[in-house]
Amino acid sequence: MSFQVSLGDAAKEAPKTNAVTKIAIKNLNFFYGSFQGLRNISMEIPERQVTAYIGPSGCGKSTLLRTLNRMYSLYPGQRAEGEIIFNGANVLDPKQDLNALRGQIGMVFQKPTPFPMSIYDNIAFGVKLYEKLSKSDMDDRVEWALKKAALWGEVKDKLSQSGLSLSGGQQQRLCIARGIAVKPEVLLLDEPTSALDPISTARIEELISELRDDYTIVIVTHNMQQAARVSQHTAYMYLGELIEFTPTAEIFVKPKDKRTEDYITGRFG
Amino acid sequence: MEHTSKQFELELEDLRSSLLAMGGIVEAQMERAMRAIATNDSELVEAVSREDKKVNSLQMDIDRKGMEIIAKRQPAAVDLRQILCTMQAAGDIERIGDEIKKIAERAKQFQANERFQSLRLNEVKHIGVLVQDMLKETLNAFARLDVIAAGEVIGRDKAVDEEFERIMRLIVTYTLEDPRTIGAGIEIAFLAKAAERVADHTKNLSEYVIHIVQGKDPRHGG
Repeated sequence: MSFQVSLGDAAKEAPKTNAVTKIAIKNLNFFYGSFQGLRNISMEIPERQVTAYIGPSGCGKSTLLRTLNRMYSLYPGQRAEGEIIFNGANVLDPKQDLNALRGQIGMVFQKPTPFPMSIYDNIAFGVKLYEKLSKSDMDDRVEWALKKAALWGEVKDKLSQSGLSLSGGQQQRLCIARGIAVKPEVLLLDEPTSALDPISTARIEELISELRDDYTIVIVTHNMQQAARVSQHTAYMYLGELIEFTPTAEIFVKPKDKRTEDYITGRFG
Repeated sequence: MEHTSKQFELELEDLRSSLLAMGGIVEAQMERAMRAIATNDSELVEAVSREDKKVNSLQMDIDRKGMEIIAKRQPAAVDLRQILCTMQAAGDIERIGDEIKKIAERAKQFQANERFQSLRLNEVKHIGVLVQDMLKETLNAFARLDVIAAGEVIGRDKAVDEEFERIMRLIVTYTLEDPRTIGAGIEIAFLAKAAERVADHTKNLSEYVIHIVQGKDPRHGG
């Protein structure tokens, strides 16, 4: 298995400054009650590329990811100020239709979270929320999503078995399949491989490289080498601030900010 | 700031001191080789040949240690540059050692042949001094990661090239005047060429210093 996007390939692609902006974040501040979790973040997430967030625990990278599809709205006392422009509208606008938003911006979490239902229904469940498909169209969609997530070959003969019967790596790929089955434009991945073994991790990374052709991907990871392997742009965050946002090939060879350098070389705290 | 991992810090320090030890040996080797030309001490030539084996084995040590650190630590940014440049620098120092060995072997010819002796010293003394100084300065720059000193050494390579050209013109003049000097002329030409190559590798070492510290690759005018 070879990764489509190595650091070397990313280096060649890095100067693609004419990338279309998919999500524009402007002066974003985020509060957990009185605690400020994000401080005045502004950045543009390029379309059909992988953007990685790295930083020490508590730096705000998962918080930032959760603002992009308003996941935080589930919790009282959490609020965001500023703008997140996606498809011409502000995600943070109270009038935003959250169901439609989450159909366009899907999310996969750290721990695999398959529903306690069959593999088939795990995929079909989300699709039914947004689309009315005939049985055969739904079959096609399930197959398509499982193929995209590189899981079809392993599960095609046991679609009626419970999603929970799969291994951790397969469950996570099932969750990714579920995420892409509704055909979102953006996929948010919050440490998608931190609970997986190296082989499953390699499969998911390979998958990320392939999905990049069709989706804009934003990934939060504690594994810096993973960010180096899969992303084209990397953002380093610290104490709720965006310290540096640079092409990945540059940030791991010659970061601009001393604080980034200290973090990625392990000179931290 | 130091690495959170003390062990990593120690490994990098060990790699660095191996390189500086290697540099120290070739610096002494250069001095021996130049002395071998000026004197009839054949022991010096043998000493150069003996010590060169240490240089070779240090290079292999550095390559092995560098690979181990990369495999174990996945270094990034300044650490990655330092490890890669140290491994490359070890290659250059090993080549410097080889060139010095060539100088010492030429010196043996001078020692064996009376006729060469009148010609030998004055013509190559100057280039020898230039190269010795460059080598010393570049190793200091490496030890202190001193970009300014490194830049200064890079600038001096031109003077060595000019000195080499001058020696070539002299040899042509001598050999035209007196064909009996052709043998000596060829020996001196080889010797000067070896010294000029030492200067080239020395320049590379200084370029690595800049690459490590500033992250930009100054080779080929970059």
